[in-house]
Amino acid sequence: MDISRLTIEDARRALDAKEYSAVELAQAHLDATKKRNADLNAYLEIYDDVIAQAQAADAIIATGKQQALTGIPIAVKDNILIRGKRASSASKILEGYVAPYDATVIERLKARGTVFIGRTNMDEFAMGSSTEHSVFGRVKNPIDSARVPGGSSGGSAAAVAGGLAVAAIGSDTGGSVRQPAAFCGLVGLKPTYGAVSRFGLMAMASSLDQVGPFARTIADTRIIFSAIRGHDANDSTSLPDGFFTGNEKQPKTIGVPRAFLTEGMDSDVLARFEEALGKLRTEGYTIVDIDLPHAPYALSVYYIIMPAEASTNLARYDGIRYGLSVEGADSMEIYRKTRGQGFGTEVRRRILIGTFVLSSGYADAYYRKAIIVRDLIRKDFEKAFSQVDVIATPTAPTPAFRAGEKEDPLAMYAADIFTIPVNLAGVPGISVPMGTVARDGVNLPLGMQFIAPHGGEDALFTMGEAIERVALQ
Amino acid sequence: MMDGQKVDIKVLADLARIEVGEADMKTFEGQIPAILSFVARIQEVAESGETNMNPAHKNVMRDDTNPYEPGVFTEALLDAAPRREGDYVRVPQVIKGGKHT
Repeated sequence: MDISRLTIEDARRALDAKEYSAVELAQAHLDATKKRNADLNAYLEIYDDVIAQAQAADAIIATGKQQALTGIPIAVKDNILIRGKRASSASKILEGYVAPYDATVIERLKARGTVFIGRTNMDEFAMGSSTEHSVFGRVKNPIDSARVPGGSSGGSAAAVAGGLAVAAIGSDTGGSVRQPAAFCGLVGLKPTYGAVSRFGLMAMASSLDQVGPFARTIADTRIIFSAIRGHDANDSTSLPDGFFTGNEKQPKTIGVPRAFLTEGMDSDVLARFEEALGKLRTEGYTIVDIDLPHAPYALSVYYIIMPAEASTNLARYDGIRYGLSVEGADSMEIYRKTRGQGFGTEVRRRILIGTFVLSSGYADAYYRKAIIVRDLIRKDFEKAFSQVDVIATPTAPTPAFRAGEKEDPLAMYAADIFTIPVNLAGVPGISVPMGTVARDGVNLPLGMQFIAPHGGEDALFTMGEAIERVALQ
Repeated sequence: MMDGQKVDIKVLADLARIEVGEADMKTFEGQIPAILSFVARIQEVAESGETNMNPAHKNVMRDDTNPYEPGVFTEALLDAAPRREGDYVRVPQVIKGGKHT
């Protein structure tokens, strides 16, 4: 059984035709993790009940009541709760923490008989773009081990790209699914804000966070998205189920914000992007230039709003309620020592920035102004979508970079320049493989990002399928 | 950051309840002002917009009834606490003896 490029659709066909069982499929993935995980560091833990989960899936298949995901082995990011399993957000501060309940996405996947292989490595508390900021060590890009897999969901991306899972779940606050998908040659989706419940996802920046899938094809991405999306009373930002009907319009016009595609832009990436656009043109799509005048401010807006929200959300890690607790003479000393020793450098840096932009005397100049500019960015998208059906950009300005290359935090932050505006506007975005560029003798994958209006995931899948089609020509 | 403004990392660390060692303090003192002056770029355009008084998302409250039987999550939640005494999370004494000053 070759599982390295296996899709959910192919596995479904084979499982239903009894070519192999869910147990055999799970065992093949366990064997692959034994061979490769120690090197890639994609999984932090391989669950000890994988075969039992697969046996339960086989029992469902035997009754003929299987669904698209029954028996499919997937990987789950370490910031999503699975009842009875450890969850750490790759942080020392959650040492020994065991999830007391299932995240809603997990509940939905369990109801479909999905098999969870393990929890994946990530940038601590999802803060990073390279998965180098994990207390458990960096994740290697399976395509070139000297390079990063992207981040923060780098372990999930590496697990799928390395053949250690058929698909994976991650979270995307500023590009943490799309950018690693691009760096690892996968499809990655950031759904519309409110499409997928965050109940049981460790909150980072609540006005930006979304759970999203990694998969090898658009068809597989669609399968996972339709399984995990849906209204949830446990997430107050959850959209009503009717929100997605009536959005099935076929996209015809693609807008390209050319003036925005300049800062830090690798010329080879831009050339591949233009080639892909040319192919879409021959497929009958109309390509027009659009303007997102405030998009160049998105990175600055993001690095005010995200740390502000993160500093608030992470206040709950105090050494009293869960995880690590360092002894101290009084409560204040427990908080200070636990948080000082339990949080890594990037997390502490962002909490301090968040504390500054919210502090008395500075909140007006930073946080409140960022809210205003965020609204200008949102309006830029609204205006653009009155002219075009979807927007296209490269997912990232460069291919996967070398580990250790971006020590300056500002240089690292710039890796998300094209994905961040999407979270700020709350619209859905997808990264789809768009060819490769050669670096040091290795062909590195690149991603093309499509962006649609709220609830426009169908348009993203249509565009993704168009790219998959032209790539085969 | 506004030009020439100094950021006191120690004050921020106190507000955030985070102990920062000397080496990290030096690093943060270099990096955080640079990040703050980068993000201050938004002030160039913030004047052209206005505060949105009608946000797309509203706070949603659940009904004011018991959503589940009291006590069903007690064990699971208390199990996560580093220090426990019976059905309580134990913390060091907050109000100390002696004269209040």
